Amino acid sequence: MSAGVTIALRENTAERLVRLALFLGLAILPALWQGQYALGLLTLMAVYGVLLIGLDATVGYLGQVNLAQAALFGLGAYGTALAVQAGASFPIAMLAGIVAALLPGAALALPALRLEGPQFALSTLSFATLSVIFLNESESITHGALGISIIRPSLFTVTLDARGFYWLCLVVLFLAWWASEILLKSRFGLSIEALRDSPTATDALGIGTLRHKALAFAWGSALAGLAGALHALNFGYLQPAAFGYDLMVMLLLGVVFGGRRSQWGAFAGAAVVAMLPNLLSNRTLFLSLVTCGFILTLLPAIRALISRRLPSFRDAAPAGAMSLALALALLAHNVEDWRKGIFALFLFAAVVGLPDGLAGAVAAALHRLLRFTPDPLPQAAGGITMSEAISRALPLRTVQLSKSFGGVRAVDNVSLEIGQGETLGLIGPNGSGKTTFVNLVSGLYAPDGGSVEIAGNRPLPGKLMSAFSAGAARTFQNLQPFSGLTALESILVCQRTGGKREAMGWLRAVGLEANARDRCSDMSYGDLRFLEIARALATGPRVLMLDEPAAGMSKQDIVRLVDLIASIKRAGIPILLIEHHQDVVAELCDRVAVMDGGRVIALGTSAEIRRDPKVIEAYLGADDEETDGSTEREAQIC
Amino acid sequence: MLKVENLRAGYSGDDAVRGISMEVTEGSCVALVGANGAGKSTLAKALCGLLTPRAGRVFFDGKEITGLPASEVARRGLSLCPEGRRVFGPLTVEENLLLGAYPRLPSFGPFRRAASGDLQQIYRMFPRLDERRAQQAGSLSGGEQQMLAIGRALMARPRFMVLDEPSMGLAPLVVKEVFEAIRALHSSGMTILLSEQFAKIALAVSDRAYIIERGSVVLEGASAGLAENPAVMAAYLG
Amino acid sequence: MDAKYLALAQMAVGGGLMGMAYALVAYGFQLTYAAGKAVNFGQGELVMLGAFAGISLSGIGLPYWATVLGAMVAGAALGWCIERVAVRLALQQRNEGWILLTIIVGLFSLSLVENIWGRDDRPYPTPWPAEALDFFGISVTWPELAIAAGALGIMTLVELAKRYTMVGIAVQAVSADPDAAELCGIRSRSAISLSWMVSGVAAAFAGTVIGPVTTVGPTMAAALTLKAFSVAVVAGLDSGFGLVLAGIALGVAENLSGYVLGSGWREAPGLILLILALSLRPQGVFGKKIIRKV
Repeated sequence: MSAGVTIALRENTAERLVRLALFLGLAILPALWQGQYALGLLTLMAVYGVLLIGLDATVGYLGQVNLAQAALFGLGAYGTALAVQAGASFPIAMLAGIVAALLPGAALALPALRLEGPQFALSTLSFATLSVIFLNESESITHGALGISIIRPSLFTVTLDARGFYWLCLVVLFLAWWASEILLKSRFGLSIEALRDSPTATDALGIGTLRHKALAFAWGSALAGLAGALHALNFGYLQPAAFGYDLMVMLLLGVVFGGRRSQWGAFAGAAVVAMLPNLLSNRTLFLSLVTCGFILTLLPAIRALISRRLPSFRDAAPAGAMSLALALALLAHNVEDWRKGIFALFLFAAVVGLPDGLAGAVAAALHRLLRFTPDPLPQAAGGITMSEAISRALPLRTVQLSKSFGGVRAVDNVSLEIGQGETLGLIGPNGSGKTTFVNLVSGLYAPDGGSVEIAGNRPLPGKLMSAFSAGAARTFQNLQPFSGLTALESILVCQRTGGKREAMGWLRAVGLEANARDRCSDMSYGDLRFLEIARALATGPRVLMLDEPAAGMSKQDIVRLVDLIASIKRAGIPILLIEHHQDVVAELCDRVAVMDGGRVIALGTSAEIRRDPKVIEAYLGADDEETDGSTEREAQIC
Repeated sequence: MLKVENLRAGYSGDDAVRGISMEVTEGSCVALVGANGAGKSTLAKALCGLLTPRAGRVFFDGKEITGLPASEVARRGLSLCPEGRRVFGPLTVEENLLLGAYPRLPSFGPFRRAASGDLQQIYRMFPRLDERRAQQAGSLSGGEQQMLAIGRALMARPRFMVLDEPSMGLAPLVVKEVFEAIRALHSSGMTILLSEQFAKIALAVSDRAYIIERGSVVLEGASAGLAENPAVMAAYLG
Repeated sequence: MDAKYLALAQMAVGGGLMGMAYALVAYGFQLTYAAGKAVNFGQGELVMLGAFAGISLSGIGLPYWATVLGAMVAGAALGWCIERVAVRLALQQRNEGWILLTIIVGLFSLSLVENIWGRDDRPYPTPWPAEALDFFGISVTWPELAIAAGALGIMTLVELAKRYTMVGIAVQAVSADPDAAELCGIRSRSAISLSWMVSGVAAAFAGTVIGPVTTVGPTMAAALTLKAFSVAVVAGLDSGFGLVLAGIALGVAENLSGYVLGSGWREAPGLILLILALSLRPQGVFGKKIIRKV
């Protein structure tokens, strides 16, 4: 890894310089590559750039397949065109375009954003189809399939010629890029990445999954409207059919091929989408490009063969797709007839072979070749303290909490209390209902009966956010890391107050200061467990629930963990600790509750519990003849 | 019959099984004993092919089965009765049992007739399942589900059975019933590997045992001897 | 009866019969979703390919029933291909790439059809009598009846196979718990492949019964995918119950709104219904709620 050129620049600065150079180059390009045709292509590229940066907000950052962007683009274009027809000035017409996309986008977002995966894709697809039907059928407004023509109004007093308009588009692209970068690298953007990785954790830590999704979608829609406005002013003629399924697939091609979660990727994709249809008309150029692509996709398969294994599907499939494309390029009478098929093959090769897209591949290569000066880390500040004045209410109280799954009572009439500053241990054999209990308290499940009170508040049953607002914070037995974020960023998105210095403070508190820049996906299992505790602490909880924090930890880590929990305890934060390591429980817990078969069978100090015959029986199994005929109690795994 | 060499396995992050070697001879009943989270279930899954080991090798009947898919391992006569029972909830009790014999039954023909002998045997062993043969498995109580899971594993006519946490989440009385069934199986000659968190009952049933702590074997030997060993108790209650 | 109401009733009956075809295509979604939690966003293209395959077979002189059979075989092969090429890898990596990949495969099929069979609509030749049947003043054509009979027949057949053959029970087991199914010696992957093949058969068969009613062309695909999705989502992606009802409802709504609002709007109510159903009950009107596990 040490190989590579060291650059005395921060990565961000270097990237900005290159970007500036790119825009300068684009601005003077029309002087070198002359002609109406070239200018048209460049303008189209800039417009698609804005559109794809918007699409990337949902497809990339939210990680949801959004099939509505082409339709929103169309609505924006029609909004602008109609405004111009009504005599609006240039800026007002642009604004009309944005609003025309943003409003229906918001109307779609409300229902659609509660959905995930295929359901989300489906609702956006039906929205897109509806929009095109609307544009086609509202003939009195849009002139239906005949289309609508406008003449570009002058910008204030300047009448823009084609080149002037291109420059305007470049400026808009630059601004959209810049604004997206700021937005998506901010805490807001980090939260979006976090919720893509684990929506359960973001809800449980109060990040507000729905709100962030809606904002990201709205931002994408607004950019679609903006791009649509530019498109309308550029072409001066619109038809509903142009904004249908074909365009949508092209846009997806652009984002996926260019690289998701990257404005550079969106730009690269826009260049491809703008140029590709025109490439098909130049057969020699197209053929040479496809040949290059084919050779590139062969590389992974060849590499596999060299290391003497059979190429996997992932190695071979892109090459297969590209060889089909090559065959088409060589054999088809008219390549343009096969436009869709060729797009499909390219897209297929990109999705399978380049999961991070062009920008991702280039970035990875650059990171291997160059080393940048890292951003300086802020000084750590703060430490573990109780977030606010201690209220008199009990931090946690459950009354006869119950939950069944199928015929199995996982939690059966559990009433527990945690006092001020108390650490309550919750132990029991596998499947005795401990995690289900935490899931009920933290609002992941709604109880069948009984109630939960957190710091005097009664959260809504089954609502993670509500339990969080009441003051609950938790860690997860099965880790729920924000894989795409660094350790520092993971804390930043969870903090209710404070900035980077405080976030560093939380990392210091759990001993991860040195890992601040590490991506969660690269961190060790034990470190991630500590990071989850830091995340929960950063929310300033009134009761902290730790679900098997020591599971899978090495012995040294467990020693660290015990120290950490002890210091949390000293700070006065009440803790509910589920743990299998009895030594850990004995050392930390003021009282211990033992669950078996969904019920609490014993409650007392650690020493008392250890003497309790019922507990010994629950743990070691009953001796043959001693069991009493108690009612059948059962639970299931959680 | 089963031989494990230096097996390492885990999900994400650190290995949950850290270099375990063990052996089970034909006809014996061997217990894997350890507290929750010691790595017993990870080991069981790695043996049966549900989890690909990161290192080490597994031999069954002298042939290597490391990394084979679970369906292949099952077809060779090694049957896992998984942790948490994992019965097919939406299907009936009888369908669950029939599925246990899947590789042997005709895909389209009269499968019930082909399996009726085995079914009768399971129903004799667990009369409660006979009463509920047409009921959805998901609506059974925990103990009944465990018996169904054992019955399903037996339907494969395995030569080797791995029982992973058969007592999990069951009431003591039901645990006793389940373990009586296991004891009966063992005395009928079945080779058994029993992974169990309840030390006493596991040691009472088995011939030999391995005590597992944090992914490694800390003690091994004859079960009768281990039951007296205070270190076993310590592994649980610290 | 009033002539206007008679016309409405006529539209409703026609729509309802067509809706059975939507239900059949939607049934294909249910099959693959149950087995592997994925659906084919290019299912409409599969229907279209089935129909074109049938047309080509009748072009070489085969009788109608043989073209249907041939199309079904082609559908099985295509379903298998789609699972292998577009779905398996993404599902192994537990990501949503399959959505994109099935769209891509659909797009490629569309291009294939455009270039092999052309962009124009074609009739699907059938041996059915040309005259319509008359039920109390409402006329029903033979091809329309064939849709209803065929859709119900295929669905009944597959449902029976799921319950009364070992393979069918095994597929159900895989959809309930793939790991536990593996432990029973069932090859989960083959079971998923099988369900995609059956889904392909259902789609291709749908093409051969829809074709005679509507004619066959490249434009039929996208609309069909959406309609079938609407039906499957309203009925619930994982339950058989209600599929036929939802299909009939959509068909009727479509025809009536086309009649009342104008033919361009006929697809709108289905789409609005779909968005509403998704947002109110993502698991489907008849579906079961999913429990999150951590």
